Amino acid sequence: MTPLPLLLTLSSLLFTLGLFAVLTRRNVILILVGIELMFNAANINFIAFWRYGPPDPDLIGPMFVLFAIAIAAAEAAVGLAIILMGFRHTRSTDLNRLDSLHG
Amino acid sequence: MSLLDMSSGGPSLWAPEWLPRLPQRLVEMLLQYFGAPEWLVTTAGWITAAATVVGVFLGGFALLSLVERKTLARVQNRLGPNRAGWFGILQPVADGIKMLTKEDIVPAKAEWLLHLAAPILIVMPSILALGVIPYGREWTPVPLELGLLFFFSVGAFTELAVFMAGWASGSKFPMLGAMRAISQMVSYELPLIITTVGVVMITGSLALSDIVEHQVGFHLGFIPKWNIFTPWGFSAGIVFYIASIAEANRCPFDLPEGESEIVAGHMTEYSGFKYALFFMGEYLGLFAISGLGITLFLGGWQAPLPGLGFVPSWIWFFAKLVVVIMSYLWIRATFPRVRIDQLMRFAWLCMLPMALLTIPAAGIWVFTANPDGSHGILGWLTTVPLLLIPWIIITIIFNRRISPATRSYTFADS
Amino acid sequence: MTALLILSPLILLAALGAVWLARPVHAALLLALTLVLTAVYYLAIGADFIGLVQLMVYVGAVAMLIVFSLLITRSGDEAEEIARRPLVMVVGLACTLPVLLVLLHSISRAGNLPPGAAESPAFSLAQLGTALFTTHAPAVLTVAVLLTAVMIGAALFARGAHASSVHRDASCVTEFSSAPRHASCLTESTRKPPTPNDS
Repeated sequence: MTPLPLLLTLSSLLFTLGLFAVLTRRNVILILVGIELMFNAANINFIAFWRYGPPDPDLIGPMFVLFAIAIAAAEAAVGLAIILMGFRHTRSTDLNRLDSLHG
Repeated sequence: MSLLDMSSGGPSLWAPEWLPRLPQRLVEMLLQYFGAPEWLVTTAGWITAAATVVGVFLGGFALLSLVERKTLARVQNRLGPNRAGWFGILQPVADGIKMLTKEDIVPAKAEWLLHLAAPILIVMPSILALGVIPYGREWTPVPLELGLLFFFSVGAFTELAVFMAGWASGSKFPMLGAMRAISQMVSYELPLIITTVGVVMITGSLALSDIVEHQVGFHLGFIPKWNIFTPWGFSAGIVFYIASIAEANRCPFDLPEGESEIVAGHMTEYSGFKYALFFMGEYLGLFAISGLGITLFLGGWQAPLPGLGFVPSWIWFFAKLVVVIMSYLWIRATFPRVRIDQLMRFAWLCMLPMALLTIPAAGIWVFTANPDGSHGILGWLTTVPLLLIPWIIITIIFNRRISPATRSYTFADS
Repeated sequence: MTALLILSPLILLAALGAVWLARPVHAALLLALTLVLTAVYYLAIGADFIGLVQLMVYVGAVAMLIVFSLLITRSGDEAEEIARRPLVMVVGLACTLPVLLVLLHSISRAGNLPPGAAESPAFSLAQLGTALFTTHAPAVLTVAVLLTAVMIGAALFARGAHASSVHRDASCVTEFSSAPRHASCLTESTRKPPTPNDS
């Protein structure tokens, strides 16, 4: 039996967990944690379809993961820079206190 | 597997070249004699090979802890440890007994699980990284195709361990030390990794043994074809050397510990064997990073002059290791500790641009090579200015920026 | 398959901890654990390069960035009590459970996938490099532009913050010199609210 359904179930559970974190957490940094979990779930899917899906001579699956990792790193860097800028102004990483737009 | 093949046609088991692999070979022969299955023989062989490396470097750790104290003492016109045994040779044993018998204290505000995991996690990557370095022609404990990538991947755990140590202690100094350590390691890991890109471009492989094989031979009959003797390799080697000092948290970049400022940084709340584990991780990491530098730029296990091939190759590796580590000690003995802002500015304004410049320089070096692989005057004429001019400019700017400026302390004196 | 059966419960547990634990540092560390376990799974099924890159970038860079910003913002110890309000939980579940159900439903319906009898073999580094710089060269260039932009952007963020703080200090100094013990200087330096873990 191919482990593809199991892998897809794992990744959809991970994705849901990440989504739940994004929806319920209040700390901005922890929302980023949820986003990273969702990225990771998508990466697992790419690897699963590369490994157990139809033949993939061009290595599209691993390529997608490589680029997703690069973009996730960039996204984390910019996201955290923005969070720190916000923190300098409001002295908080709480989303409920970051609701005013004036500096 | 290659080892088993070598037993038929290769050099004899007792050749000096094979000496470091003798334990592995003996275990395998013993298991084969008793009719153990193939997988058990292979696994036991791997474990023995790994244990050999760990044993050698734990011995080196003990020796280095003594040599460092003796050397620093001589530089500072002292005698150093000279009570335990002849010439203080038993001092590491005494230190070990002291460390092992000390009380293990876990602060009340500490998170015991993370507090326990941090020292283990800080030793593990160093040992793993030591496993992929080619120590001799026939002695690479784990010959990985992705050796270089593996080295840096496991190195990522060190930062995590430092953070866990600093945060789980639940106290101020460890926290400050961890913040310093993480910012320093992240900043200096960047130039460290970028300088290796040039080597990978030249070699066309991430396997460390391939990188060494690529540096075989001599220019003009006596200059080794090591990467350090090319323009881009010289620049990359210097950047790598400085960044490796910072990665290993050595003086003058030992801000994370900074005894005179923040007690012992992230290790403040540790005692006994856990504290010893931190030191062990630090020294093993020092061995690993210098071993990697030797592999990448100093020709690995190769002899420095032609005609010296009769000496076993692993002896050359360890000779180079001794030279590099003694240079670390020399720097530690003579340089003052830098400030944190100087440290960061140096990383981002000097190290990073110079590291990035080695990549185009290495590319030009590849493209200007003659068809037979030798390098004419064209390669030198293009890469040397490419590296030298920015180096001079950066030096001038940097000297101007960090030279002592008039500072006014507005709040401190009121 | 064995690797998956061993690793998937661990991955799920770690992710659950990353989502549920109240202290941010624990959540961040468990996120790192999730990523490490995923990398181990990649290594186990032959995607060595991807696994090692995941370790290096995610654990060495992303998780460290998250942890470090927790340190800088001193929010590592703040437990998120308010997030546990029942209303938030209900709304969160109401939004995520349908997503999960749709995903699981589509997985269960996907019987007409091509049979995965032939597992893709592990690829060599040369294969990956060739594919990367021939077929996917435009994507590489795009990512290079993106990363350069990110680097410059992050540097500008940092520089802007530095410049503004210097400017604030300078204005404070001038006020201080013109009128000693000027109130704004003192408020500037003492305006920070006490951090919660200063107990």
